Amino acid sequence: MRSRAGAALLELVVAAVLSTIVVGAAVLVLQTQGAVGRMITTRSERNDAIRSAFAILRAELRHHTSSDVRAVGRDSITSRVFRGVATVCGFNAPDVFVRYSGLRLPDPAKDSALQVGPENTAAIASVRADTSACGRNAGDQILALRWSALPRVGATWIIFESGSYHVSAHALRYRQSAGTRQPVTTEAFDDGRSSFALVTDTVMRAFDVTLSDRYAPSAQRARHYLPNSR
Amino acid sequence: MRRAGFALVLVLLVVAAVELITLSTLALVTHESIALAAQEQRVSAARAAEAALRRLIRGWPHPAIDSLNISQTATLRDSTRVVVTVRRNTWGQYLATAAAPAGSSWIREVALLETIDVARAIEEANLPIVTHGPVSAPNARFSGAPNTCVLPAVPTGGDTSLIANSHYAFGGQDWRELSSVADSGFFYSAGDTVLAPGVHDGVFVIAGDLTISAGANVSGLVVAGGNLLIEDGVHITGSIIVRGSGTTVVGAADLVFSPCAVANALTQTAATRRLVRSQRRFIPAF
Repeated sequence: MRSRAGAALLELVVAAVLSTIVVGAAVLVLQTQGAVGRMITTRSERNDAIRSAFAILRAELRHHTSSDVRAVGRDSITSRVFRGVATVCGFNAPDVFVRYSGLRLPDPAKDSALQVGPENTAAIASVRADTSACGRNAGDQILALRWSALPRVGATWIIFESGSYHVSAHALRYRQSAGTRQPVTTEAFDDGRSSFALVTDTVMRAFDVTLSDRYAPSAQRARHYLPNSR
Repeated sequence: MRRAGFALVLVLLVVAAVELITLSTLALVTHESIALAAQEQRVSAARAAEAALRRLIRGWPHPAIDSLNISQTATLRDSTRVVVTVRRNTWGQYLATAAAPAGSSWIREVALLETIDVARAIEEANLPIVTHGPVSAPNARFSGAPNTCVLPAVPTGGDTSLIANSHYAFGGQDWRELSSVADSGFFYSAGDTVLAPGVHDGVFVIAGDLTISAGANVSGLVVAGGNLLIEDGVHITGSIIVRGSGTTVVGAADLVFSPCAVANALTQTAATRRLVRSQRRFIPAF
């Protein structure tokens, strides 16, 4: 076998160069993949925030009429926010018994009641559960309310609080009456390019919501039609 | 230096890392797709439920619902997968709930549907002339009632909330709501009206002032949003509700209070089985 002086060095150099190229490429691929992964994660979080915001606003404002909306600004909507529905099933003055279903129990400190039909409103003085009044089916929740309205069996009342939704400090925030603004989404929005608007002619038809991505030029718009206006 | 398999191990590690990141990305994308699909499913279900309620409203009256007693419930199914349940709250009010499947859960839409409350209307028409204002009827001949004095109407339960509403007409409805069923069997006038001489049977809803001319023979229920003038020689069987606060002037007329005439007029008009167009028909579902 012929002597191959220096061949090992050459092989080593070639191997080192090739290894460097392979490792470099691998590192680049890893970095790119990592960046793409992070970007997708962030975008996913922002999409989640936008989806949540649209879903919350749609659920909260869907059954509104123009009398429920107090003010609409570019960055906020102030309105009645419905928390439950009560149907009068009996009364024994001063208690009015109602079948109730809602997100939470009525709270006299912050809730009022709105009579469906005449659109009368009444302040709630007290609330307690009552298991003896009215015929009860499984799952029925019967409450004894005292409020500043005269009862009629069968009348339906919506329990509501006053609240407002804002896009501020990059998040959708809810403020109950005189409380502070609490975030209901992550900080994903560009305040300046996000907005609320009502669509009205003779009645309130719909509301438009535009939510702009804080880190991208994209924006998502949705028009929510109100079933009571059609 | 000999390091057999070094490159292979290195490549495998890099491939594993790339795959891990790729799988994570794929998982995120899948999550996005699932979230979007779920959202789309919920929106579609809400639309289907709303559409089912609109079909119910368009197809009203429904025989299965018409025969319900208070607190009874009827379940309706159509070709879609939406289940509509209707509960009669009062004689004039129904709670309709449409539930549409969205994956493993149900999306509900609720509508409060109102008709003229016949029982309440009969209860309100409890005198020959029901009015809050003064009455001048020195020559009128009242009959058929336990007393002929004119008193404010107070419906069951002492609920004066509707009466206090200046737009309130009768049967739990205001003038605007009544106008939405005006083409279905009762006489409705948005302004001042004169009932001419002749026979008039049924339900007469006049949003403005009403003059009943001499020679008119009226049977049933008359509701006037403004003031009422009844001329000499008029014969009325039934009841008149006056919502205006001016003086009701009655000439030498015969007024026979008849709850039966009121009830017959109300039950025979198709308007009492039609849904009135209320401002807040769809209410939140909890």
